[in-house]
Amino acid sequence: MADALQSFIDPKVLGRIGDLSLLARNVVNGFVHGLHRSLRAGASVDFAEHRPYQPGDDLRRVDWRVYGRTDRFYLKTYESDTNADVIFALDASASMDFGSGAVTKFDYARFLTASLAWLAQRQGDRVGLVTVAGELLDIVPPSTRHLQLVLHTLGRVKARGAGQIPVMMTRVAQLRSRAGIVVLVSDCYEDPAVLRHSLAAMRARGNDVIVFHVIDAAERDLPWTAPGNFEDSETGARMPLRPDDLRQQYKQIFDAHRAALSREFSREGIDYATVETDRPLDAALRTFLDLRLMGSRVR
Amino acid sequence: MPIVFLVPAILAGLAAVAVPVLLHLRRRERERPMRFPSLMFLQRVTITTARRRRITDWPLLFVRAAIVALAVLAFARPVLRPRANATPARGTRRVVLLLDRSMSMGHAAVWPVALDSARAVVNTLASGDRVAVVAFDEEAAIEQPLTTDRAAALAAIDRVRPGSRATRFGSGIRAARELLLKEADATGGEIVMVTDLQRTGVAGTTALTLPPTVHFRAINVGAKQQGNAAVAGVDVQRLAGTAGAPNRLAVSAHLVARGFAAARRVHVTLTANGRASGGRDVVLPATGSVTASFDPVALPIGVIRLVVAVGHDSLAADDSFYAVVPADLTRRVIIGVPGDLGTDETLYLERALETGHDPALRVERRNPATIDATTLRDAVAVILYDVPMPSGASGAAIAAWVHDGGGLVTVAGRRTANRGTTAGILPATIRGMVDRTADRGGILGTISPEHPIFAPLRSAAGAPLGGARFYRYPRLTPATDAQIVAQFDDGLPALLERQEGTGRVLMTAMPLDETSGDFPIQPTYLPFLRGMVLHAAGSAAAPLWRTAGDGWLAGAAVRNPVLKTPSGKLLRPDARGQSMSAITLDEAGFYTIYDGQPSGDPVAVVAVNSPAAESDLTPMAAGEMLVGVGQDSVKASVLTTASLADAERRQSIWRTLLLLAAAAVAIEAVMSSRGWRGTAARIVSTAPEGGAS
Repeated sequence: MADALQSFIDPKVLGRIGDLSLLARNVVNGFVHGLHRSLRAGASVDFAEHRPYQPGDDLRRVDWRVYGRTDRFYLKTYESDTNADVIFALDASASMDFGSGAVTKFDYARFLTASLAWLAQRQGDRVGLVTVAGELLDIVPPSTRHLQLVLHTLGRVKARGAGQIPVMMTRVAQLRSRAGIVVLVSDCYEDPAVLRHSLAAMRARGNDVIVFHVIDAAERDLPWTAPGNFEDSETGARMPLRPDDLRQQYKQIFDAHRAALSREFSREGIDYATVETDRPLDAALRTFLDLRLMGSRVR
Repeated sequence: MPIVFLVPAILAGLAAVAVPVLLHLRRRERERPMRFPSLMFLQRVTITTARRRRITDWPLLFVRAAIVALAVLAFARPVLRPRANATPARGTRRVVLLLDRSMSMGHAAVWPVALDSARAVVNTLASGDRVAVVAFDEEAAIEQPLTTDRAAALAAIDRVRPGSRATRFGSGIRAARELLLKEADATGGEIVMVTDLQRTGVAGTTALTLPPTVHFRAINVGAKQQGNAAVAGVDVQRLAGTAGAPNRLAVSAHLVARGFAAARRVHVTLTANGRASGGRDVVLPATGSVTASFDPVALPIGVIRLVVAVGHDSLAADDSFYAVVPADLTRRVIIGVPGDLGTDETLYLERALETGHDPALRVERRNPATIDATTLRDAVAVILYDVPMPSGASGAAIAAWVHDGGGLVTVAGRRTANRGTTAGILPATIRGMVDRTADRGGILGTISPEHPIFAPLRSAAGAPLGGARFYRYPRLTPATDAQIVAQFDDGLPALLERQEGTGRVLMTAMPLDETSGDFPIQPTYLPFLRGMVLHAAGSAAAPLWRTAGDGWLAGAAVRNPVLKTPSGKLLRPDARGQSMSAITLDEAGFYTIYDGQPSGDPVAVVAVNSPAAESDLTPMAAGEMLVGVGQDSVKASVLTTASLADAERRQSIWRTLLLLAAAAVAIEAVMSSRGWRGTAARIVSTAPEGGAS
């Protein structure tokens, strides 16, 4: 059973599925069946509290039993009334179009975003999407009916241009009318302080913010041995390098960057998770669910 | 020894060596960049570039460049040329270009190459060098004297066309030597001969000497495929018709094949007066000859122009053979006899001459004093039988006729011996008689067996002329320029010959009647007499065809000769007051001679063919040709005369270069497929100065 589950969320398998909708459904269903519990259980209509009637409130929601005992109007409120807006911010910069394994970082990010969107839709959330690829901006406002639009947008967007996470966060902020969940999927080639500053504004508005840091094994380990010209995917700049001589130092810098990201995000209450493109998607899904069902401040 | 190239223009292809270099660099630029998500972290690593080379795979690049260079050099056909002795500095050279224009050069695979080679010789001269162009076959013609004008030299080369005559290297070399040495400041020069080095052309070069300062080299442009079929001759025989049927003409052709790899079937055709008159399929041996006999055809009226043709091969000039059959094959012989001579005395002579055919001889007795130019017009020989050379107009006419090719036979006898006859145009003086009756008559002692008169008797065993005995014969004293052809056993001349102009004069002391010996009853009498008269007739006995290069004399009776050549040109020989006009027959085909205007019935038709030996394309080594050219310079000349093409073919450096190129290709394939990487360091990075930020 565990093997079957792995096959549904293994990036090598997902890379062969062209239809993102089918991919997301398979991932989520496989993932959910593996949990042996219903996601809807946590989304039941539970009583929250009574509050005094105010002019304009719907009379149908008046608790007549309380009125009979106290002769005052009180309304019942329920937790399940408040489905969240889940907005995915997908980094479509050229640096995401890199992969040393079966899938590129961008493909992996799309799979992850599609699966998370499917999962969110399944539990009643409204899903939206913001991507910035070069000069092209794609915005799908959050809605319960926008899942297919989100999946279609994910299917056609191409990674290119420089990373523009602050711009993306600004557009996300413009979409928000109330607190929700903001999911940033990026390779985080940005100054950690700048990223923190961009995401802190979202947090200040009461949003839950999750950052999925997509990492390719090659950019983590710098495995090359032959000397060569390294070309920056975003800027085109080249550097003649001998990786053997630089590997140790590079890995130290890379790890320091991750540590800095984690440190900066934790200061703002931003959830930060690294996902590696050669690992199954379930870890990322689990992280999302844990945040959504247990640790979320959003109702 | 310097390396030269037969096709130097191909060396421009060496520029292609840059192609692998460019590809190498381009490929490197294309392959080397490795896309990386971001250099943000790598830029923080401290890197010091100590040394950088754009080309990293030097061995691979070298191999690839070598492949191109070796192939280009191979196709340029390199050759190691022996260093010439004391070659003048460029800009001061004097070069005589000898261009062979003989018939064999008309080979389809030879002439274009010859022109290219000749132009290449001119084009490789430096400015200031002088060049002359001499075309030669049996004779040499200076097409362009020494000049610095290359355009004029190239134009002279373009004017030369292969002809129908034979190759004679000696004529060209002599003309070139004269050109080089006649200048006052002559200090030597070069002779460059463009030829097919036909072995038959070497005649006449053994006595040729070149000064050591004159360097000679030959460029062999001969065809590799030397197979050639030719029509070497025809035999013609008139067949008398029976029972009212017309006379017929039987023609057979001799075909010669040389140098073919295998026997081959060819079709031979006969054309008579422009009409197809027969055809035969014959199998030609690889090397050898065969005779094709055509069915007899009805004998046309008048002169018959025959053309026998064999299927064309690469050398077309000798595939057709031309012959002219006169209207009557009977030749006229005039016998001048003294007035007191009885008919019985010349009976044996006349009967012997009138026996036989091809040609048949018609004997006409005349008083020598009545012989004039008109009488001699169509005669082939005059026999003065025991009569002295007539004086006056008759004698002058006979002398002129002989000078222009007629044949005169003087039979010395008792009358001329008793009178005492001086030589004049005769080869001997006659003084008295020798009586050999006491010793049962004399016989011939020695003869010249190679002489054409004795050719029919050469295979006969025993004494000369079958031991014929001569009891009384005149005593002859040879003239200084006379040749003794036969002697009696007592040493006195029996037969003498002398050349007079283009004619021949023979005198015999052998009695031709039965009163002074038994020669008339010997079986050798008839062939000897016919041979002697026909030999004396010589060129006057109009052959069926002549050979290109032969001279032809318009008879004195033709006052204003006009020749129409086979190519259609009209020639008017300038007699310049002489009695006869000489024309050189240069072209193969039919020459038509008119008197006055080129219309109406021609005076004569002459068939001309290329020399049979010219059809033999067998080549010789360049050095072989110069054996005997200067004692001191033989070795050097032989070395320098080896043509570049010959040397290149012999050395085959191109083959070695191509093998090396193939080996380089194999090495390149191994190096490429096995991931050969250059060992040169491109980047040297220093240790980082600090940790990551």
